[in-house]
Amino acid sequence: MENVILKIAYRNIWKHKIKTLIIGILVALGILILVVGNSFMDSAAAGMRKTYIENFTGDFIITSGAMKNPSMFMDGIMEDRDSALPIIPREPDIEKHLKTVKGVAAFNPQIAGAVAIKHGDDNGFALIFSFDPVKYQEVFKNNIELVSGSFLKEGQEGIVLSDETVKRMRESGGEKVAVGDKVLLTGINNITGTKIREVTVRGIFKFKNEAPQLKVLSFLDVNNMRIINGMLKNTEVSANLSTEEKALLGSVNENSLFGESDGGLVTDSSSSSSAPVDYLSILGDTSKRNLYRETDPNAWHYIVVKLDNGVRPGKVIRQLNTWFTAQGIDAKAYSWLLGAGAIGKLSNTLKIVFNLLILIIAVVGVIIIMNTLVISVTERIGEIGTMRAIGAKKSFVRRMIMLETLMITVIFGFIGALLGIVITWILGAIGFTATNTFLQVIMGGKVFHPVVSVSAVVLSLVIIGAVGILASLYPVSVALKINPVKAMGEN
Amino acid sequence: MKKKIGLLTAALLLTGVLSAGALTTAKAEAILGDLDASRNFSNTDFSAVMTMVTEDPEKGIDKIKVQQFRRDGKDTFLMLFLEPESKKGQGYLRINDNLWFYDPESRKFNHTSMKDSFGGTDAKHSDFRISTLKEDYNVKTVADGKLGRFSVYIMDLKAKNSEVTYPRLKLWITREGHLLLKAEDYSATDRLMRTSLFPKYAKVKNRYIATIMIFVDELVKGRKTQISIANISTKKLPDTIFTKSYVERVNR
Repeated sequence: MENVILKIAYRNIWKHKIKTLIIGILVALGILILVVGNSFMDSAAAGMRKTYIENFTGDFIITSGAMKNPSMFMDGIMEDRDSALPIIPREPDIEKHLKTVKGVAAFNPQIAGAVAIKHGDDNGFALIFSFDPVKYQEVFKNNIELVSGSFLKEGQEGIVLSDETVKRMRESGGEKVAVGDKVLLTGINNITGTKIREVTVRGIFKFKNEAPQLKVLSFLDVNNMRIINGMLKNTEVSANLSTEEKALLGSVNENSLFGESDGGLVTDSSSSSSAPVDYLSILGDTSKRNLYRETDPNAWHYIVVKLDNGVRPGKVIRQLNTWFTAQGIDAKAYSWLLGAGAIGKLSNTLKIVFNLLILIIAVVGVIIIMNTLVISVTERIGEIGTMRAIGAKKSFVRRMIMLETLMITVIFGFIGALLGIVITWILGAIGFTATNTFLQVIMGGKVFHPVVSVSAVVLSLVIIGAVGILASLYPVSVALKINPVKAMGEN
Repeated sequence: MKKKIGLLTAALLLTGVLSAGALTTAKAEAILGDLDASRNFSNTDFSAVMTMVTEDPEKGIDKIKVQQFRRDGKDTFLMLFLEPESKKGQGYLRINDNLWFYDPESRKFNHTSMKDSFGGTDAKHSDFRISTLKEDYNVKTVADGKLGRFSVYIMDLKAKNSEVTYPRLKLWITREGHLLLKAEDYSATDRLMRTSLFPKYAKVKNRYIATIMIFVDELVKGRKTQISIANISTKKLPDTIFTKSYVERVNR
């Protein structure tokens, strides 16, 4: 029976060559776009993942549970900055625990911040990471290349500037920053306000990975970063407000401020004798302020964790989050993708957009194939009617139409997938050089070599099947409605 | 004949409207000049203690106390933080058209902008220098209005240069006495950035100083800074006050 169906389906495909070819080309083109497009998207996502994991986020990160946006990049740092980036509570306990977690290869506590840099007349800006240099190099092995000078040493004050930052500072005019020079760093926090630090340039470096988003990153010693961020050991008790000050809190009512019930607008005040008498002692006792200069040695914003090869981050993240809850520690582990922030998510977002477009194309494709098949079925009303009259069951007709559709979609789908694989392979061998910064961000570097994505091929095969089945549903229902007697009469 | 009279009347009316407009603008500019003159202590020095309370929906309440020294004749000032302890001794010094910030912990000065916020409050550094409204802005429109119990002129100003903190201002100035009660500060894209209110003044040596100022951040809902001024003095200050070395010495 199956052989008969196969023969009939094969005969029909050959009989309607033009229709078959139209449907086939549509299917092949759709699958080709899907394979090439998704291979590009997957390659870009893999490049992005590699960029971040090997230079920025490790396999996953740990932050305070109070962190609004775990992104270690500018979007997260600036979002939390207004209320100061929260520090990880009981960080030493977490470090102690991480040493016992199976699969954790290394970890690196970090502090993040942003500073304005001044060197003579040169001005610059940098996103800063501060850490224990030894731990950093355990997590990110050989990820940077020194242009001059050296990397930070344990306990050493100083800054290691990215060559891009040095280049941009140079563009603002003046003398080029060199190793050994002193630079002024200025940052703002909401505890100690504006802080200025003079630090020594210990080195100038660049990341081996050429992704543009890494270029704004420089490294500063931990103590100076904590001072700039106001990460202090002692916190000041907030000042009391007077009755008048309390009265002005809350929303402003202009009618009340300038209304009838209020007192006079102007009060006469003679030049009082309340000017300071001793201008050199107006600050009073300054010894107490030293109490608020001591930095907190356990204050960190992130712990970047590197896993042993083959260890799945999701499982370790879940284990750690369970442990935090059990220990009552308000901390949270996040995947590298959340640590990578908006830029890191860009390739995933683009993939979703691309697949939505593919979905729309697939729907249109299904409709076109369906219509062509319906025409084909209508042309064969007499034939199908005769089959039904001589005893062919509905299931026979259903299987026959479905097989025809599946044969077209599978054969041409495979051709499309094969062409997609070949095209991706050729493009991968040639490689793309991105001159545009946006493309460099997406591609995770200047040169992009797409590779054939297995998941894209598998997905295309699933889609081939789905399109074939979906496209045959309506033609099948049309064929099944054919009245054998009427059909034979018309024939 | 009737047509001629009609045309003449129209011409006269038009001339009247234009001259009234020009007169209003000219008068408005004179009022701005009065306002500048009444707020600047051109012939004396000025010192006071400012208490600034900033409310922020996320950060909570922050209070700072600052010693202010002004020498308006030379467009110079020094603002020294007295409280809290963690900021004590930090200062902003404006000399020779430059604004310097001093950090007593590192004992370093760094250049900063007059357009920046003062010490994390909603006040700008430019709020504490001499008033130069007439010099920096053109009057675009003037209207009569009321603010609470006060009859006011409502003036719309556009900046003449890019040095000012806000390119567009809307001011509510009392008709009587020409005191500034309210200001709306707009960005270059005409977005309302800040509303400033001045409900209390002190008259000192025929000059007017706002003793209560409220700066409402229009970008962050619920955020504002109130500033109260006390210990006002117009005594002559030593010249050394307005120097970097004084700021360093006072911190020793």
